[in-house]
Amino acid sequence: MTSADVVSQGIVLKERSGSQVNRTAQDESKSKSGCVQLSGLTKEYGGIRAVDDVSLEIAAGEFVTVLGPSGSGKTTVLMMIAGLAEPSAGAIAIGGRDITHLRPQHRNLGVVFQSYALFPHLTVTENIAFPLRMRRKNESDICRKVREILDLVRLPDLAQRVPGELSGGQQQRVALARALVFDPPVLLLDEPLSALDKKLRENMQFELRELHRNLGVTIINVTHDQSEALVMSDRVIIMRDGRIVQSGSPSELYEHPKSSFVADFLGTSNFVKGEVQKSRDSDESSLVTVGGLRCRVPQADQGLKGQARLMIRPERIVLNAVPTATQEHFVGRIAEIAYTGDLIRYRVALNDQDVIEVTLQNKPGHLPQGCIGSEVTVGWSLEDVHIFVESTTQ
Amino acid sequence: MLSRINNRIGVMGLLVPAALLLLPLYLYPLLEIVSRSLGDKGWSTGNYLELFQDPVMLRVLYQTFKFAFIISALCVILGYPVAYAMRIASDRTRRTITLLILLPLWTSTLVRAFAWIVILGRNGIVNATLTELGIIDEPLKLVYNTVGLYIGMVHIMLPFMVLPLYNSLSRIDLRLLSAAETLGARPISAFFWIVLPLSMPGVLAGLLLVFMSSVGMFVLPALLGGLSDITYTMLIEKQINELNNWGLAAAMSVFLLVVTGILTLFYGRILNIEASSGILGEVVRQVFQRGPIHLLIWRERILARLLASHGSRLANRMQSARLVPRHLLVKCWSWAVLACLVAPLLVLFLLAFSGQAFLHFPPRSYSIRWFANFFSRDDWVTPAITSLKVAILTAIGAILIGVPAAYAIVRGRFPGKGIATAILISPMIVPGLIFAISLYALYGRLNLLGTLGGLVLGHIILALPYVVVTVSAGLKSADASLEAAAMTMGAGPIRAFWIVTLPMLRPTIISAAFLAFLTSFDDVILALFLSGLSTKTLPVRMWEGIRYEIDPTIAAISAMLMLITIGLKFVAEWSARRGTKSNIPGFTAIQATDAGTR
Repeated sequence: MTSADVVSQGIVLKERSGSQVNRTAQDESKSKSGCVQLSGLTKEYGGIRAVDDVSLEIAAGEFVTVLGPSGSGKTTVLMMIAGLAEPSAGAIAIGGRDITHLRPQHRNLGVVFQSYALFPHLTVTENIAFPLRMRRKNESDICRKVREILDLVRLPDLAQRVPGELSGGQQQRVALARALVFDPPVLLLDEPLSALDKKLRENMQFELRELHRNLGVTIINVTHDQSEALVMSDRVIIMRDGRIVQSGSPSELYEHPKSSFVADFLGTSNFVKGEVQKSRDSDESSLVTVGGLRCRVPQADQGLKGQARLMIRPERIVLNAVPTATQEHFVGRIAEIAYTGDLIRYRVALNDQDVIEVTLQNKPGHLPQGCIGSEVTVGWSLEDVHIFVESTTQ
Repeated sequence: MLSRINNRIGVMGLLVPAALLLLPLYLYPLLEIVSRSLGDKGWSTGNYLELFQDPVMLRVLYQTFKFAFIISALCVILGYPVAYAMRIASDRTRRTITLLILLPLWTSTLVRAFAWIVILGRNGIVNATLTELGIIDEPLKLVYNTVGLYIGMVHIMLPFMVLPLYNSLSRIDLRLLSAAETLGARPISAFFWIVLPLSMPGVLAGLLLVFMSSVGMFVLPALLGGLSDITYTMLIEKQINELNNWGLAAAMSVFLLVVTGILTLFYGRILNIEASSGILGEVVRQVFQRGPIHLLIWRERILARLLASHGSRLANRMQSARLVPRHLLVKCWSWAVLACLVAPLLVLFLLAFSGQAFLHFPPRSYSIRWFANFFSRDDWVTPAITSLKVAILTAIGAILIGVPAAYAIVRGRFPGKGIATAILISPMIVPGLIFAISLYALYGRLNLLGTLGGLVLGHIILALPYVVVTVSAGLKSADASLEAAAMTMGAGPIRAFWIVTLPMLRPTIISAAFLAFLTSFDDVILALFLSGLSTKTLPVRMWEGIRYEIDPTIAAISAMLMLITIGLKFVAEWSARRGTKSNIPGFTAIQATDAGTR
């Protein structure tokens, strides 16, 4: 970073504090410094590759969530960006500047830790002022910035408390304020909401989104909570065993998963095992299930062969529908009904082997009459069907 | 209801053996000291007035406090990096460091004093090496003066600083440091802002522990200090042995007891400062944790103003990459300190096998002649046998009295339990010399001086705290509901203890017995006063040896003692771990309180 950059950023800081008027100038500055590039990032721990050749470009101002089960390497990626773990190979650049070997204190990134890592012996004000003091800002600037950020996270009354006297949600906001107060171009969040209860978590998801919209900061969020990823992000990156398996917008990933892993990890899915075969009477392929059902395969997947799994989302299945040309339909029996409040979940046995789950909105008149054991028809559109080949047999 | 009362009285009955020992031979003599301090006839405060008016008294008091203060300060400076290195090290390195800290702790004070005399003496290793290298012409005076006293005392006290410090540092979440770094703090700033304030309770606990142990020191200053390096306890001894001024000695003892008592109270409170919301906790937080923060904030304010014109300097700093390995300085410092801790023991061990008649390091030839010399001389073998006898009897006695007492204070619920516990533990804290002179006075009247039995009883009192602490820890970790389960199946309380609890406690009891054995085997002060010619123990013989001759035989004995002690401590430690699955902190409690007897 050149001294000119520092100065220009300084001006931006002052401008932003005024009002929203100067948003454009600020956004421009962010677009220079807020883009993140990972190329071939690899981390080995004693021969095991926790992160394996991860390359990623994140645009300035983007809200990206890295999603994956535990042990997928997502936190390690975040820690390498933060500078708290040294990459074994690869490079990290922020705002076009290579920071791979820079110490964390020189990276100018905001990090919110899973445990918040608030300093227990410092008051809220002192915690938030800490990064400013480390940057040797003058006292009046510090006071003003701390006051502003406390307003932003809606905690102005708690300035003199110590973290031990705050609730989990309040601690979360202080951690956020502390990571944002020095206007970092990029904010890293390590499972920021995992310690909160469900209600609070959902509220915070919206608040984070709003904050992101207002500040225009690039956010990289790491989580194993798929609903959090879908709700908050512009883009979701799914990792498994240290590699990126798919990335895209939440709807893209949900609607068009490229693997059964992604389909299974995001939302709930029905998987029906079987083999893709050519029909005797036509050119069309279909999937013959273990239980002997013959399901049609969508046009795009016609070329597939071998052992495969058919995936269909429970909410895309219709109960007792009128069959149309594009719809598959089967007759089954209700094996179980679960009432979850907003949704009713049915398990329908199509035969001894194939059981699928169907979820319906809990709306009056919307629900089929029936109880366990009664016969129903299930139907779905062919465009909602995904086929994942497991092994090709020939 | 009735059975409950019976049970309660039954549990209190387990304290009877301890009471029969401690009341006449520990509390009564100490009370006698108090009464003697108030004058032989009637009550007068004359002795106390002399205490605070006599310039010699005041000078020695000031000197003792000054020594203790400097020793504590040196221990913090040397020990803090070691504790910090322990905190950030891997598990394996941490175990190595712990072992290196405990090794000297397990070695007798006499052996270590002797090692330093050999190393620092006029013809010692340091002087010999420096002369050979041509750096100095005249040998430096490093021992038998204040320098020697500081070196020896710091060597002894350092573990008592490092262990509470580590305890306190281990409670700090290391992620706070990562957070500080991402917020822009350099490692050094992160240390002063985060680690230091949060470890303040540990620093204070360590300081208090070292200070209060140093105030009561006797053996080491007498061996390593110069003629003018007189400590308070040495002055007490002088009043009795040379001037026969019991009244004044008693007053001095009471004063020292009060000081130690107050420091102990503070120490106990500071150890669990997180839990305490009292005035002391608030003071520690406000003064010692918040104080440095306010200083730092002011420093930053001033620097921000000064540097306002040099905005670009910050920008330059932003460029620096990872060039120096993390914590390099801390690691180098720690290994250097640890090397100094262990080196004297190794030197002594090598010298024991020297083939020469004078101590030269490294030895020019090796032999076992000094071991042979030891076994051929009655004036060494007899005290060694006496020591063994006393130590074995002490171990047996301390177990027989201490195990029931520990059971009573862990399982029982009766009024005065806190006081009973405090009394049982207190011999660990009372300065050894004060207990020794109080018992010396009593034994003199009872004609018990110079008897084996008298010495054993004294040693049992010294060893009792270790047995009680160890066995209590074992009992607390042993599941009380198992005993209850046995009783629901029809076993009486005694039978339940015998069948269920005792087998679970066996490793703990073995460990406690070894500790008791070593307490007796290491003791100098009590034996100096209580044993006559016929019951002279090995430490007393060594004390005389170190004071009047520098003989390689002592190195040979020291080597054997080191092997025996370290071996036994390993057995005790290993067996206690098997019993209670306690790791280092549990062990720390026992070791940390060890300081009181030095």
